[in-house]
Amino acid sequence: MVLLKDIIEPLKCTVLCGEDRLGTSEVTGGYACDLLSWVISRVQTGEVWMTILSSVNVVAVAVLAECSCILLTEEVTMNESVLERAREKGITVLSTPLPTYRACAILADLVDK
Amino acid sequence: MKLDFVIRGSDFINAGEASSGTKKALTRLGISPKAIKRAAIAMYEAELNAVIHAGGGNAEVEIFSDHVQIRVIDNGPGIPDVELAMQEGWSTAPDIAREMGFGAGMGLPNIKKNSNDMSIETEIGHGTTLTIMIRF
Repeated sequence: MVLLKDIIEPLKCTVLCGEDRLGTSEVTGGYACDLLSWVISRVQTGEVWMTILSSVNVVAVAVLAECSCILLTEEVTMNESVLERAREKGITVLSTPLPTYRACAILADLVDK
Repeated sequence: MKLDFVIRGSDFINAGEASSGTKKALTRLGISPKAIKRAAIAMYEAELNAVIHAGGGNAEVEIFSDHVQIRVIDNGPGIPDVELAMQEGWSTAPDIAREMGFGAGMGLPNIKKNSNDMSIETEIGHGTTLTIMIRF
């Protein structure tokens, strides 16, 4: 079983919020997309959602779709008011300098091995 | 059990709160996680349609023993061509919504996909009522 804490180092992640869930949230896979309706209908429970979107709506989608976390790729960050909302809703937000393609490849390796 | 929510137009910050509140209520009742997720997705899309296109509206949720009925009522411009709106990829979302990741043209198709029954009553210039039923 892969947990969020297991993906932090390989994916060069900075934890922006939700540190307390790293050791308990299971990662079942990954999904990369920046269209919210597409994400909400396709991402599976427990998947890492990789995106370059960082507005507050991303948090709502992650909650409703039950993602294991939001992983902002390509050095995207999130402003403090959105992070506050993510904390309120119990969503972990990570950020990586890696391009989305690279992040997907590394994550797939970790989950599939 | 009945729940009522006010959906404010163009309020992207609180968009999703009605769906989130419904999800919480269904979770507390011990409904199956799959049915809860379907209800949450369908309601979120309906809620966002009211936020983006209709200047807001109301959501009325009625939870029964074997299903939930979600009704989203708005006084917006109405949908001129429902058949077209039901097509995946068709969107009339403004740029401001698209910049935030909306406007994929998946809203109504997603609602249909996740519900057991949906109906749209719409009148140009008067508004739209979307009724969704999800069986547990």
